[in-house]
Amino acid sequence: MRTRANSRASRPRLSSLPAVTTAVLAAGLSLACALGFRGATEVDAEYSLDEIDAVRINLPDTPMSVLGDPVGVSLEVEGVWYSVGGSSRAAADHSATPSLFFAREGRFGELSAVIPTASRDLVDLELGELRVPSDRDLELRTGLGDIDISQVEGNISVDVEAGRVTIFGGADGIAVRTGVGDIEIETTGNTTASTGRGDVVVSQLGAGGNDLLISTSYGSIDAVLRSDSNLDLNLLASGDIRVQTRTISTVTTGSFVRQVGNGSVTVELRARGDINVRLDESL
Amino acid sequence: MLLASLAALLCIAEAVAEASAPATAVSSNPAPNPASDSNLLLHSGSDTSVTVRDKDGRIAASLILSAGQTAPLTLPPGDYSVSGDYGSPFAVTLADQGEVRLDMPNPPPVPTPMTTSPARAPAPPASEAPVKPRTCGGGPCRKWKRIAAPLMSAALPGSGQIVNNEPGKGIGMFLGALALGGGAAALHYTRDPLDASSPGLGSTTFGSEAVNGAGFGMLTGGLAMLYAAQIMDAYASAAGKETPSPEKDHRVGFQLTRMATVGFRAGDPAAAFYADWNLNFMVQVRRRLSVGLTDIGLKYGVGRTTFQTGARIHYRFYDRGRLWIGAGLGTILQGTVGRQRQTIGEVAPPEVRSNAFAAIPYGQLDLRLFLLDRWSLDLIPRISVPLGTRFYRDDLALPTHSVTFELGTGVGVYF
Repeated sequence: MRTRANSRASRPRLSSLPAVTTAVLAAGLSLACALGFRGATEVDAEYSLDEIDAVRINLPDTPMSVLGDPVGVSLEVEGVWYSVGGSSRAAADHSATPSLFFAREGRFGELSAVIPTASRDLVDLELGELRVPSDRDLELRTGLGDIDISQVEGNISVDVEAGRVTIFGGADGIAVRTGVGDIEIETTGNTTASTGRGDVVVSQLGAGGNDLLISTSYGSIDAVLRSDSNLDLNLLASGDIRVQTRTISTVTTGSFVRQVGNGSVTVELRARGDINVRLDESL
Repeated sequence: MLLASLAALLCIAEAVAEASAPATAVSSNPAPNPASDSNLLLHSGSDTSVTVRDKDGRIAASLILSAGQTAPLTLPPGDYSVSGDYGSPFAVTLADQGEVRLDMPNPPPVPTPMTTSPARAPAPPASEAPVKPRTCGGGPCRKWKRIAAPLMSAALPGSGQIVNNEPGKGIGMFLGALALGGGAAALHYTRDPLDASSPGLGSTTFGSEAVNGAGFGMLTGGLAMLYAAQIMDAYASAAGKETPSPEKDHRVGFQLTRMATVGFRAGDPAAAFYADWNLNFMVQVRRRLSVGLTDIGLKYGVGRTTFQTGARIHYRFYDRGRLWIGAGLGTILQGTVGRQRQTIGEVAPPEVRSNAFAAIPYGQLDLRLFLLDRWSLDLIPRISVPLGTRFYRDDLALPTHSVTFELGTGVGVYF
């Protein structure tokens, strides 16, 4: 019994602490934040693409909107470097630290960012519209950001960790990979596209006849064809498969394989979701 | 594996504590003379079986008493334990040529104090008082539970309490862990990575992301504390420890701590949850005063690796009962090795520094709640000002001179 009495007597009572200590404790427990300032520095650059056939834009996380310019001869970039700092001056300094660097090797060019390690996670690039000559091949790489490309008729390649990808053009072919995000493509070129999570809408333009190799690990695929006269159709879905063209009409599940004509146009679609293949209604 | 190790460590540490604890039973009797036997008179008011064991646990005598019967036993002097059908065992010390009379308890069990013949036996020492039935949790004490209960709790929160016959507490622990874990998972997995992929956000999402980060931090911090607490509680109940006696005179202490805050980012998402897991090794150089190597950790980011360590001096100014409160001053030192992205062509890009160094001085309060003698749950509010970029995991960093309030949670063990 004495032991129990002792333990009660020694039980802590916060009221016996000094008021200042209690106040500091309460404040400390209620706060968990970092204080600082934001800074920004504008970027406006132009790089000649004379004797350059292919351009790679390899930048840290940033959305990118690329517009093909039929009469352009250079890569035009505009945007803002955002930053954080412990003071307004430090934030401004950080935003001015990174730079863009354009390298050439043969007829290949690459735009990248050069950032000191100490500033790398303290700055963020947000690009406005990029302009490239529309006949150049284009390769885009970034981590997080939506990609929007239009009027670029060269070969287009996109590799992004997370972001929606929208492409209108790419007559010489398209290759897209996004970890997370929807994909929308309208093209006359052969297309390979995959997404880890997202829906895909792909449409053939012109006379059709371009191959489509599309996959989504979690989402649906909607393919719009311009022609069904020489199809090699290979569909695999965990949901419903609907095919509605002049020569094929079916609703099924699991897989569907059909060859029409000489089978010169490969349409291979794989989705953990539904697949819908139809002919362009305007035809 | 980590959880099982924590539970195993807990068992080892407390076993060490018990092994080093002084014996509480004290006998004031003189050493018995083996040549002269003593008498033990057993009396019972009801039918009962009686077992007499010597100090080594061997049965010295076993008999059945009828109601009102008194049976004499002649035994060598020494310490004995007498148990019947009712009540708890009695501790009896037989002196040289002495006689002790013991009334066995009747149902319902009401332990009757041992009576002795004042003319022929010495006054009973403190150790002869009736031993209360010792319960651990809601049931009898079992040694295997000291291992099994914390291990079970490590594997499934609350299950160790159920092993200890405390189902209400166990279910409560389980539901609490489920709620905290479920809430944290919901916050984490319902966050759409594409929320921050749209152009033109301009950090306008700061408010919602800061609240999300704070909520995630509170839920995971609470879960970690509850998880550690229920493992300790499982052991405490299994060992029958009601009130811990914290090791104020420990030599060394280890802490596993997560310092956390919500900070801003340059881009989108505009706010993030910053967590710094680290190890601390403290030596108590004088009573209440400790120094040591602290904040040891390794952080991998995108294209960089950061190693950190530091030093701290800590003073414990309040240590009553199971609560300790202290304050500390220290500095974290961070060294970062980065890699620059390769570029094509013969023209080299502008030279920039690939490596970085930062010192982060801080002051902190330190609340430690003991559930076991050598194990504490820690809550640590801290204020720091990095001198240089302070790196966290992934792509997270806080800029130089950014005043940072952190809240740490963790566990400590003391030897």
